[in-house]
Amino acid sequence: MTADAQIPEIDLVALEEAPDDAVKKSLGIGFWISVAWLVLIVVISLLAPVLPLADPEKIGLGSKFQSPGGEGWFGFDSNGRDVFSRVIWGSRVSLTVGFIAVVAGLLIGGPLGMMAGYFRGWVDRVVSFAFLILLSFPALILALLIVNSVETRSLRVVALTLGVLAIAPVGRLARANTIVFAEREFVQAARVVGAKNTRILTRELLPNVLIPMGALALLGVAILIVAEGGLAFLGLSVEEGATWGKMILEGSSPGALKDGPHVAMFPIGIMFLTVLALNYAGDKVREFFDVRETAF
Amino acid sequence: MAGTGHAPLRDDPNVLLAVRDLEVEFPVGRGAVVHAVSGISFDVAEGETLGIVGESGCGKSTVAKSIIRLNEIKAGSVDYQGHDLAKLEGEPLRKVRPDLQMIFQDPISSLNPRRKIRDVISEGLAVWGDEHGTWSQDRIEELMLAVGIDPKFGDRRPHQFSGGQCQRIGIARALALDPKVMICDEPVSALDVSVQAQVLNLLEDMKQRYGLTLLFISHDLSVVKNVSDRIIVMYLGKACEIGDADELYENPRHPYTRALLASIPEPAPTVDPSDGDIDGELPSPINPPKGCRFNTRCQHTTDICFTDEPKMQRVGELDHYFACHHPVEISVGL
Repeated sequence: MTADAQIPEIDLVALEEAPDDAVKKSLGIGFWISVAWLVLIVVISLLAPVLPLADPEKIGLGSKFQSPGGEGWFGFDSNGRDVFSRVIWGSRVSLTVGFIAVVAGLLIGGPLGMMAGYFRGWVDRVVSFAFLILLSFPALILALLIVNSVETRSLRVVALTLGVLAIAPVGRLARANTIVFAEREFVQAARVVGAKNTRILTRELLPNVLIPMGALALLGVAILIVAEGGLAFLGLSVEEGATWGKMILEGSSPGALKDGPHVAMFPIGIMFLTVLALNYAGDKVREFFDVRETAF
Repeated sequence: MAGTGHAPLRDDPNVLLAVRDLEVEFPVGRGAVVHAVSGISFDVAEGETLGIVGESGCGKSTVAKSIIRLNEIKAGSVDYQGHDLAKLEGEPLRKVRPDLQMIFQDPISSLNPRRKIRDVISEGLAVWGDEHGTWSQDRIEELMLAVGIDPKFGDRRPHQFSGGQCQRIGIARALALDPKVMICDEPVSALDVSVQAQVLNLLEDMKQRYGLTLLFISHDLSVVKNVSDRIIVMYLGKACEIGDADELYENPRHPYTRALLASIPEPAPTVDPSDGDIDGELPSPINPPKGCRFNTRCQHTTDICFTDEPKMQRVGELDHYFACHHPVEISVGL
C-alpha cells in the first residue's frame, strides 16, 4: 500500500449493520453467591491474625466436646480447643495449599501442554508420555512418596506435592484446547503474516486456552482442598497447626462422632460449601466466556 | 485429465510466480496417502489474476496453501523472485512471507475471536515493525477505510461483525504488509450472494489500487470467470486445462471443462447442456485411476485413456493448453 494511496470511495453501507454489543450474558445469582462465599472465606482467613479469635492451639478453653454456644460458636473439641478459631486458621492452610498447588500445575502443565498441542510431533510424544506416567501413578502413592521423602512436611512441601498431581490434568486440557485452536484458520493467518511460533502461542492461542484453564483452575482448587483432607487422613498433611483435613480426622474418631459430632461437622460443612462454590463458579466462568463464534 | 508437462509455463519476464511439478501428499494412516496434488505446473504474471477452479477435493486449496507453505510439499518447486519457496525453511521463509498473503475461506474462523479487530489487522505490522509499511494507528484506520470498515469499530471483536465484514477485515490484514501476491482461497463461498459481489468488487478495487497479483480459488465458475485473466481447471490433483479466461470459456477443449461449464445454471451458449452429464463421484485420491484421472467419468474414453497419462498440449498459438487424448472439437456444440 503506498502512502499516497487515495482514500477510496467506499460503500459505507455495510458499516451501519455492525451489530451492537451482543446481548449481555449474565452469570446468574448463584455465581455471585458462590463468589461472595469465597471472598468471605478468603478475607476471614487473611484477617485471622487480627481478628479477636481464641488461640486455636490453646487446650482447655472449654470442656471436652462442649457444644456450640455463646462461649464458642462452633463448640470445642476433645482437647477443649475452640473449633471456630481452628476452622478459620485451618482455612489458611487449606486454601493456600489448594491455590499454590493449582498455580504450580498451571505454570508447569500449561506451557508444556500448549507446546505439545502446537508443535505435535516428537514434542507431543515426549510430553504426552510424561503426562501419562504422572497420571498412571496412583495419586496417593505419588503424594506419599514425595511427602515421605522430606524431613518436615511444611506447607510448601504439601502444596508442591499436590501441585505435581495437578500438572498432568492441567497439561492435558491445555494440549487438547491448543490442538483445537491450532487448526483454526486464524493461526494459519498469523503464520502467513510472519508471526513466529512464540508469538502465535502467546498472542493467538494463549488467550483462547486461558479461559478453559481458568475454569479448571477453580475446580482444581476444590479438588486439591479435598486432596489435602485425604493426606491428613494418612497423617501426611502439614505438620504445624490446624487444617480442615486434620480437624475432620480428629473429629471422626468413633468417640468424637458420638459425643461431639460438631467437631467434624463444622470443618466438613465449611469445606463442602467452599468446594461447591469453587465448582459452581468455575462452571459459570467457563460458560460465560465460551465465545460466540458467529454474528448470527 | 491428468495433465503433466511444462507446456503451460510461459517464458515471460513478467512471470512472478512459477509452480513446477508440484506434488503434495497427506498421510492418512496405515501407510495410505492422499495424493492431493500430483504434478501441476503453472505460472502467474505480475498483475494477473489466475483463477483455479475444480470441484471439492480436487486439490485447489492445497495448491494455494502449498505456495505459502501451510502444507508440506512433497516435490516440485515454487519459484518466486529467485527463491524456491518449496525449499525455504525457518527464517528465510519467514522473511518472504509478507510478499505472499492469503485470504481464507471461512471469514469467521480466520479471525481470532479474542482479539480486537484493530489488533488483528495490525498483526503483520506489529510483527515486522516498519519494515513492510508504517506502523501507526493512522495506517490501521487507512486500511479499515480502504476495505469499508468504519475505524470507530476498531475495538470490537470479530463476533460483532457479519461474515462479509469479517472477510473485509481479513482483506485489510492481508493488505497491511503491502504484499505482491494475494492468494484468495474461496474468499466468497461462505458469504451470501448479495455480499459476494461486494467482496469481489472490493478485491478488484484493491488489486487495482495496490497492484496485486491474485490467485483466485473457487468452485464457482461464474465467479472465477468474472475476476480472472487466466484460469486453471483442476481435477483430482491435476490440471486439465489452462488458458486465457475468455478463450477457455468459449472454446473448452477438455471434456471435464465442458462438463463444468455446462453445469453453470445458465449454460454458456457455446456449450451443449448435455455435456454436463458426468456420472459418479470424484474417485478417491488415495488410489487415483491410472492413465487419465478423468477416465472413470468421461464419455469419450478409449484404451489409451486407461494406460497413458495425457500431456499438456497447446492449442495453436493461443494461450490455451489442455491435457486430453480426445479433446472436444471446437465445432462441437456450436
